[in-house]
Amino acid sequence: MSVFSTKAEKIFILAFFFIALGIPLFFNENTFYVNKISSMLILSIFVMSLDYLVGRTGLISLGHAMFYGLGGYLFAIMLPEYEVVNFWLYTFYVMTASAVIAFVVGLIVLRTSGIYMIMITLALAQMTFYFFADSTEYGGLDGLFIYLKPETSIFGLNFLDLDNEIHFYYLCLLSLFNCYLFCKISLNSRFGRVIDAIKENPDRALALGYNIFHFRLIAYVLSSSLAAYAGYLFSLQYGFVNPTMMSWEVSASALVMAILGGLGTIFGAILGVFVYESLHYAIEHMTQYWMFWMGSLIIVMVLTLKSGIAGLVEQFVTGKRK
Amino acid sequence: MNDCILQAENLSKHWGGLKALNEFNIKFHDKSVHGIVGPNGAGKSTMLNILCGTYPATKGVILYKGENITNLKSYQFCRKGIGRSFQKTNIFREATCLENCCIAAQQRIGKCFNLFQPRQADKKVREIALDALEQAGLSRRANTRAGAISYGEQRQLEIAMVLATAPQVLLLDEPMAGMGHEESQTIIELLKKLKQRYCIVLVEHDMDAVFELSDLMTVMVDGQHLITDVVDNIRSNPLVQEAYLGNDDEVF
Repeated sequence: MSVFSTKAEKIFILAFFFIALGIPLFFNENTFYVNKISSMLILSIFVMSLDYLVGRTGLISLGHAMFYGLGGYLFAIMLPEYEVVNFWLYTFYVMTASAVIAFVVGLIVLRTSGIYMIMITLALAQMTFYFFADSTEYGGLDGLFIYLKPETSIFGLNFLDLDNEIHFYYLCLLSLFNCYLFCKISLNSRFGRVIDAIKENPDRALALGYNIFHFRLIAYVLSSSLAAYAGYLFSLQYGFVNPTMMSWEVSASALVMAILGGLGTIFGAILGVFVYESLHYAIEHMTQYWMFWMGSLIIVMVLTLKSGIAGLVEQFVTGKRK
Repeated sequence: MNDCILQAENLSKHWGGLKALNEFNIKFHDKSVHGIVGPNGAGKSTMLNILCGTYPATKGVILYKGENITNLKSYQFCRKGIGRSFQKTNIFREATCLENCCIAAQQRIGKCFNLFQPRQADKKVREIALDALEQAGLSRRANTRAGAISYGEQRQLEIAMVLATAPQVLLLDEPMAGMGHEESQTIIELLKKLKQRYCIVLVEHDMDAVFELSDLMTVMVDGQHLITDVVDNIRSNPLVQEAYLGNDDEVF
């Protein structure tokens, strides 16, 4: 059984990772673009985790940035000052801590669904936002700084230097690839079968004897931990965290990217992020009224592409029009 | 008569001031069809929904093989062996018929929280699902998308999914609703086969079908139990004729 659901997905994923592997070779002199693409890779992980929740589990969250921000903050808070820590160990700490938080938050928000879930996730994310924005201990609106980047040795071997932009780029690429694999494998598993069933027809799944709350909770925890991991990478890239990471605009634009890419396709998250961010970058340089043009363009794209850009790729590959 | 497998004692359901079900007593026996009829609004569906745990009962006790299951959660009813089909077709339309039954069968096999084993890998789930499709006479549709098969076949699939959960009691809510004569015949034949093995509770408006299939029948009126008897006695019972069958206004 292949990991890919469709031929289009296979072609896209292979092409994407092949090109992405070579990107630093082209921009060897200019690390600006490598950094820019690294941040898009990180964002892709975040949007992919949101697609897991919204597109596949059928739970619409407008507060997913809370975990993105928490990933960064948890790391910055746990980090001892003036000490170089191990990257892998702290990856484990950050993800475990955010999973525990997601579990508790999930117990609350998953009691609701639909529009109420949107409201409660938004409310909790805003609460967290203001908690960090008003706290003097955690730096208020300025956030926290990470002075020393972690080292990445594992069993005494050290391949990656996080201060090196190219190395960091490959770490992000590897993370995105693993994240993609994890999403695909877990959605293709026995667990994924139940998740698909619950998304399509929760009442029927319940009548078949599934405790849908448990399944939703697990999906919520998985998705939130992935989002936290993305936030953790973000904090490593820029060397700081601040409350803007968990503002509702971040959640909303991630949702736009997921929808633009094609909800429920998982690989569409990568497409959504790259198209959105490229457009953003391009239009921003052409006019100061970029938001207007960007918004109009997104409206047109969402209206014309029913299953997002992933659907467009699908049509292109199969040569069929639906 | 066979053993009593499912039993309701003094079952009541009140929606505000409305007594949808009032002090209802009924017993269901293994390997038989128990037909339940009554005019619209008599509380048939309400009772079915309580028996499978969808609605909590306001009052009363449900006994399954002598065990009190009144306070179980709705998903636990299915695990006990009480499977239900829905009045309005309720299937996973985007999945294939086989996958529909696999979803049902996997619940029983377990390991549903396994994140890494591919869903196709388990032979047992597949076997159960194929067997359920076979029993419901849908084998040739195994790989067709459930939303694409005919309405009658979807009703069959609905029953196949319940079978895949390995039930002992089948609560069927109008399995023949909206069907043509030929399609109904398919379901009647199917249920005749199934009653050799299961306890079937059949709520149905198609009188010919109910009379043909049932071993015992219960007539309900206004949430009250009117009479439970063998089919022939029901037909000739003056109370029933007055309350239900003789009523010309009633449209079935």
